[in-house]
Amino acid sequence: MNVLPTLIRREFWEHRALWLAPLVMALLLVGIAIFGHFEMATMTALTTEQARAIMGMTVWAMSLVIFVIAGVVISFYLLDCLFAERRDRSILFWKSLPVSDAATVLSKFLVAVLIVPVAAFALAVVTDLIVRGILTLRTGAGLMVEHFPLWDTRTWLQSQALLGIWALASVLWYAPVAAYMLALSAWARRNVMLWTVLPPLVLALVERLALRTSRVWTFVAERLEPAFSAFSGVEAQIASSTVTIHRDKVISLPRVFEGLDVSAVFFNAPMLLGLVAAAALLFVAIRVRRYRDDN
Amino acid sequence: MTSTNDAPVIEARGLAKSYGKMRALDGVSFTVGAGRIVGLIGPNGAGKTTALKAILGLTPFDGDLNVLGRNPTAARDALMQDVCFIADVAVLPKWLRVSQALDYVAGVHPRFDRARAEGFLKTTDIKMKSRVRELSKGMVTQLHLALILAIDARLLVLDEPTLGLDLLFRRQFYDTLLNDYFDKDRTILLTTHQVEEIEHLLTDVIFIQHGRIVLDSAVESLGERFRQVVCAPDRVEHAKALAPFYTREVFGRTALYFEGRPDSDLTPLGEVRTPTIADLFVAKMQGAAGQGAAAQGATP
Repeated sequence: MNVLPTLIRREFWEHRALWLAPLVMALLLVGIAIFGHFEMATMTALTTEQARAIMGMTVWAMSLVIFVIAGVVISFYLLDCLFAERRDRSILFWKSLPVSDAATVLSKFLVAVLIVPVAAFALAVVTDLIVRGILTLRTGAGLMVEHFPLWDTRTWLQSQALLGIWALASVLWYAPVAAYMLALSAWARRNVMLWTVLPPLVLALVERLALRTSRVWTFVAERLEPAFSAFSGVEAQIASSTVTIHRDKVISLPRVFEGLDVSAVFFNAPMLLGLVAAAALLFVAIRVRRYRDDN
Repeated sequence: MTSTNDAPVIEARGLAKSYGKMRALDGVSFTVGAGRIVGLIGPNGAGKTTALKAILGLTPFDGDLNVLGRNPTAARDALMQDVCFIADVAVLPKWLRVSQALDYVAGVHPRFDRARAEGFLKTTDIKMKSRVRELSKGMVTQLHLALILAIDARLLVLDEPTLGLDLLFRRQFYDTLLNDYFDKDRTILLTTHQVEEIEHLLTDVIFIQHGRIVLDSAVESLGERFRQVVCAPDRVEHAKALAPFYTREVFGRTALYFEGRPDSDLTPLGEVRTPTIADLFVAKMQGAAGQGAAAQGATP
């Protein structure tokens, strides 16, 4: 008897996209590294800081592709997981076993906010190493010109560490959104996606018409803004960690990491209030699952 | 209802439940003892499924309900360790593989005997790697039965478990249930439309209609209470004077159903016997539905 591991395995049996999609994307990146043709403007005489910033960007870009795919499949998973069991009526089978609604809902939440993100992060790290290895071999074999340093241990570790913190912050930042999706997945009789989008849209519209303000819209946009919304506590610090390359200002991940106030990332009001909201919405999802299809 | 000396497995008092204006259960009280096989029998919409759902903690209700010493609403998760149920054949998810079904139940149920389930599956054509969507309806039920029979539960609830199955699967289902599962420590509560097929295995029957209990009796005492008399035409008027609760004409002969009449009253009228549960069910339902129609001899 291993209740929690069993519940988690079950999710990957049903929702195979959770592991297939990020894996396919990682393989695609490796494929591009093997067969791709790269031509970049020759960059001469980079300073150390410029080189570090560029390497940080490559770490960022490769991981981001995998994170975005993971984020998309997690979203679809959250909208579907408590809805599918009612649609195919398997819910009565699951409920015939001694597994509580709380354990069921929490296992799905854990899959979405812990298991898949951690796996995606690990996959991104491994993919990054493989891609760098392949590119190094190709440059060594004379297939490519080395335009910028492919490897610098300190820069790589700092960039990955920053991505790790960012991924963790993102997971916590989006936790209330995940719980909201779970609650609607447990509640909606059809068209979960529509029900998810509709309430904030209608609220924003009503507010706009009645009060001529847009607080709801701003609130939602701040929570869902991609990339750095999870770093809302340290926005100023990120903005100042830039390096100028040619005429562009580029955020340097190693620099952001060096100056990062980790506690400010996690201990700020929007982050903590979001977690409280997530707990409340999870509770709602558990209650709703209990008797939803009783008619 | 008779039961062993043990505490009752199910005890319902004033069980009630409404969906909007419709009263699905209207103050139902009954007791199910350990080691019984109880048929909960009623027409569509009589409240059978609602009663089962209340027993399984799947729906809120009014009244008192005690299942294995627990309140099924408050203690549902603990209760499910001792209770198994099959809601109907369609509930196993299509994507599930047979091996995964075994892994899952083994992972979450403390009283699941995996070897036993595998042993049962070996007697069928079901392959471990198959997904539920690849199995026939009968095989899905066999799989579900294999999972349930391998759980050492005290109460098994079956709601139309053989719906949509052919006769061979239905027969096999109940044979397996009786031979491999049932013993004096276990209790089975089931509903079905195919009353004829299960009447030989029931120890008790509960008839339910419009959310109320019409009959609640041990099968062995039905014979003392209910008699069926088949009369020749010249005796029918005599027989009707004894106030049968239901009358029906079959092939020119008339069958009359009596409750609480001694055989000494009835033997002069014709052939007396204990009605089958199916006959009794029809008699009770039709008799309650319209005395007028019954008096004229409802169509068989």
